[in-house]
Amino acid sequence: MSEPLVTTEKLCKWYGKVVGINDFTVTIPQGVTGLLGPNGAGKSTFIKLLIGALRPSKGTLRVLGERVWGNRLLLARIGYCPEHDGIYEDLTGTEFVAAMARLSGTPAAASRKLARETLEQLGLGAAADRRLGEYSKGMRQRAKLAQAMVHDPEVLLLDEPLTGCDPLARAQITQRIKELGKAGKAVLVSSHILHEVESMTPEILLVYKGQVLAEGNIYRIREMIDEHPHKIRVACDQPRVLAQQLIVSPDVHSVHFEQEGELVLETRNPDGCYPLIPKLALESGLKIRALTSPDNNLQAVFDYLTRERGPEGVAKAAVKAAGGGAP
Amino acid sequence: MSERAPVVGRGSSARDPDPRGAAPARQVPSALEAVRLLAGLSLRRTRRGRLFWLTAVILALPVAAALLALISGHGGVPFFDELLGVFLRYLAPFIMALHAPATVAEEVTGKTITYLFSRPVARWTLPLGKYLGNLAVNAVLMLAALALIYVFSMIGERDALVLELPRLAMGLFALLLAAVLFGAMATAFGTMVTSFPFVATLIYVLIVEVGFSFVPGWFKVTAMTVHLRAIAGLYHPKESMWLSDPQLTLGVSLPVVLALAAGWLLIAIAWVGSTEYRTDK
Repeated sequence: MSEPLVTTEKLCKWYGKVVGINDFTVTIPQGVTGLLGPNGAGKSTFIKLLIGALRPSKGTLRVLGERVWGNRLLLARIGYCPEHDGIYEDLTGTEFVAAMARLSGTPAAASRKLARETLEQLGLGAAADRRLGEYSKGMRQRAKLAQAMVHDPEVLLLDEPLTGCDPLARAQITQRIKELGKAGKAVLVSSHILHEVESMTPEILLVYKGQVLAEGNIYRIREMIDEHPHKIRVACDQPRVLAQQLIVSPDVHSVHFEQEGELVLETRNPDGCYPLIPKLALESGLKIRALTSPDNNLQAVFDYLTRERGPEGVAKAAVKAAGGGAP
Repeated sequence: MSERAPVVGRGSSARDPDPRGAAPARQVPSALEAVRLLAGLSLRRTRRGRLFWLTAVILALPVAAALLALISGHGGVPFFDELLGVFLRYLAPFIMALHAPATVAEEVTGKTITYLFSRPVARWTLPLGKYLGNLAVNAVLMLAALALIYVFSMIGERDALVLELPRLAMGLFALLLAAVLFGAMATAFGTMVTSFPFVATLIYVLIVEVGFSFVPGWFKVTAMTVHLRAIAGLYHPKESMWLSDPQLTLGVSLPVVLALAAGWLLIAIAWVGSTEYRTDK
């Protein structure tokens, strides 16, 4: 059986009195895993611990079964794409990626060729000889990815790799990450956007305030979350008329009004409610301007999980949702 | 769990869809190779940076002064010695201090250190590589400037251009040592002080290297500029009833300068090996 990508046991990282991550116990399997959490949750700290840029304050950490800090042989097996925008502005794309390949042990003769090919794969072939300082944000992001991939590592640690990318670049990068997963690479992708990660993998690790909140299959986690009333916000011309009709439905738990021209309903069966609302509106001749779910974002998931567990019980009550695929 | 061999390569997996195909096997770079690669990276960046041109402009000033002296007929050995003294006492420490940010500090503030620390290279190779890259550029610029000054200073004198070559050789040697020493000092400051390392280095230079060199008596041996001038043959100890300057020879000053350069580099190496540089500030 293959070694898990990451195993941690009560891992802590403090920056003085500030908690980076706290009591982090997790096993991340091989394959593609999404590391989800809002800004400041500890995602980048966790990834920096995985590449040995930071030393744990407490607890144990293993990547591919090996210790991390000062382990050069392990680093040769890892490709890392940082979340920040820092890059060697005065180097060309090829020079940057080739230099990183050389530092990862690629022979001199092959590094330039590999650098060009990797940049080509990521859609930067035409810009390979331009200085990175002239690159757009999306192009920089792809150059950063290229330096992480150029030496063909077994493990890819990608910190917010889609930040600043245009839709085309997002699609290209997402596709490439999926391919790498299929090819047997272990990929850990961090993001604070749920649907970004969902498009790459169903396996996620939710972190919040430096602690593991939930881990496992995203659909299972969502099912657990769906057990609590799901909110749907409807913007229409006559919300009170619509509310009268909705409240008689057994799927609707409650209805209230937050703003002028809007109603918010709570349901335990969102799949039943979403078709019901336009149907009722059509029958009554009402005009619906918008149908949104304030729950359908990561922050809502965090809010729910932290509210349910209580701030001090987050780690203890972390959701484990093993197995299962997309419903 | 089986130990993994240090040689890793592409194309080992049949499922690998990498369109680049099989790549040559690679090895973790040796420390020497890592230093060479990092020095090359540093050299390339320094050559293209604004600091390179600023350094060139600063060094062009004494060269221009020598050219003016030639035109006005004021060159000769005393003029060359004076400019060499300015190089060793002020210009060399200032120029190397100017490059203090272009060391580890530059990688931290630019956040590029994360690319380097995630590679399979020993941390201590980073300050050493940066040091050598900066040294190569600055030493060449400074030595070239001094050689030009020598030519402009001596060309107007009969036979002096050839006869005074040993003086030039010692001057170049002392200046090279100055670059080695103050480059190491700047690397140490640029490794320890990542915010405004130039200011920190300059304060040190002004207090210790410039300030102490004027103090009479034995205290002045703490200033390396004194040793460098001794190596160049420009140090003339003053005799006094109370506080006489020490006698310094090449045999004394050369080991002191080399030892201090090594000391500064060791500080940088030790610091980078144990420090967590944060790039999320």
